[in-house]
Amino acid sequence: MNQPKKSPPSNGYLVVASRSKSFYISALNLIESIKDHYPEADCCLVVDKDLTDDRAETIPDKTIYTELQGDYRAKLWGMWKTPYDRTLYVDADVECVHEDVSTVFDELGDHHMMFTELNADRDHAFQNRYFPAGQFEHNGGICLYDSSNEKVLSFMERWWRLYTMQKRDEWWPTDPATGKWDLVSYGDRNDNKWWDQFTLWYMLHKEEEWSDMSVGIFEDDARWNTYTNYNAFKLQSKNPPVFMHHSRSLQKDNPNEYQHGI
Amino acid sequence: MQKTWVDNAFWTDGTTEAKDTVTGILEIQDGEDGPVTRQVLTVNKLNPDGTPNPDWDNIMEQVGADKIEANTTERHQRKNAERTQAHQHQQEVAKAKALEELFNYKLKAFEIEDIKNCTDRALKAKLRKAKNTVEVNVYATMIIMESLKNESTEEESAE
Repeated sequence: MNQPKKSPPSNGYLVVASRSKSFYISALNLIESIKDHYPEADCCLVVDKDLTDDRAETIPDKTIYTELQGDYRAKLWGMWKTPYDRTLYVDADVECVHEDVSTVFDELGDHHMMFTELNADRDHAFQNRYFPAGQFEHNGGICLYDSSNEKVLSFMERWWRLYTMQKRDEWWPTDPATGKWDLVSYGDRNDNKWWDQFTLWYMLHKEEEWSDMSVGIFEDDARWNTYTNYNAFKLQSKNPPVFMHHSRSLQKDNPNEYQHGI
Repeated sequence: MQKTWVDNAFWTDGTTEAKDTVTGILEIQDGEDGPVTRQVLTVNKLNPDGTPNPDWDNIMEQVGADKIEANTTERHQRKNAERTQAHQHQQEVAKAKALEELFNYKLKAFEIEDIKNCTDRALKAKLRKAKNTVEVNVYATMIIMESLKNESTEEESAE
C-alpha cells in the first residue's frame, strides 16, 4: 500500500473502484485522463485489492485498499477515508476532457460540500427521483468537499454507515406516530434502499445534526458532470464539459446482483 | 342534441391544396347537462352519389374555410417541427450510445498488454482522446509498433 500522506492544505482527486474489474480499469483511465489535462493533479485510488495489478500503485499518487469485500457503494467509504484536505470525488465511469479540472477546488468557496444538481429539466435523463416526502436533489457522481473539516468527515462516515444499514434492511425512516418504518412517505423501499442519494437526502433534510452544513451546487454544473445523453435532451453546459460521465458503459445497477446480498 | 365542430379542423391531406375533405372533431352533447362525446371525423364535400354532404356545410358554417386553411398551415409546420425534433433526438441518442461504445472500446484497447505497459503518456493521451474507433486503432497500432521497436532495440543491445 502506498502510504497516504496528509500534508495540509492538500487538494486531491479521489476515485473509487469496487466489485468489478471494469470499474478498476475505468478508474485508472479516469486518473490518467485527469493527469492528461492536469499533470500536477494528485490522485488517490480507493480499490478492492483483488481487482488490482501493478498499475494500482504506479498510476495513482496514492492508493488505499478498501477493508470491504466488493461493496457496491464503496465510494462512500472512500469519501470518508480521503487522504486530502479538499477532495473532489469522481465516479469511476467518468473521463476528464478539459484542463479546467485544475480549477475545480476554487469552486468550493465557503461550502462544505458541492454537487451537481438533479432537477426537473434533467428528469428524463435520470431514473425516477421523486417520493411522497421529497425528491433526490444531488447527483452523487461528483462531490467536492472540505475534508479538512472534521464535521464534513463525520458526515461522510455517517453517510457510509447509514447507507450500509439502509441497504441491509437494518434502517429505514420511521413514522413518528407508530415508531415503525414509514413505508408510505419515502417511496418504494425495495428501490430506494439501494440509493445513496436517498441516504444523503434523509441526512440533509431529517437529521438535525447536519442542519448547518452548507451544500452548494457547482456554477454551470453540467460541465462538471456531463452525461453522454445530455445533448439528446438539450442539457448542454454553457462552457465546455470538464468531466464526461459514461454512466451506461459499465455493467452496474443490476438488480440480480442485489439479490445475492451486498 | 347539440353538435359543435371544434375550431381546429384541417384539410385532410395535410396541405392547403386539396380542399374537398376536412378532418375535424365533433362534440355532441345530449341535453344541457349531458355528457359531451368527442368524435374525430373526416368529412367529404360530396356524398358517394355526388349529392352535397350536409356535414360539410355544417363544418364550413361553424369553422369556415379560412380557419381550416390557417389550421392546416399551422398543423403542417408543427408536424414538420416535431418530425425534425424527433429525428434530432434520435440522432443525439445514437451519438450518446456511440460515445458509450467508444469509451468501452478504448478501455478494451488499454487492456492490451503492450498498451497497458506503455510509458509514452503523450501517445496514450492521444488514444484516450480519439474521436472514433479508427483513431483508436491508429494510436493503438502506433503504441504497439513502438513497443515492438523497443523490444528489438533491447534484443540488439543484448547481442
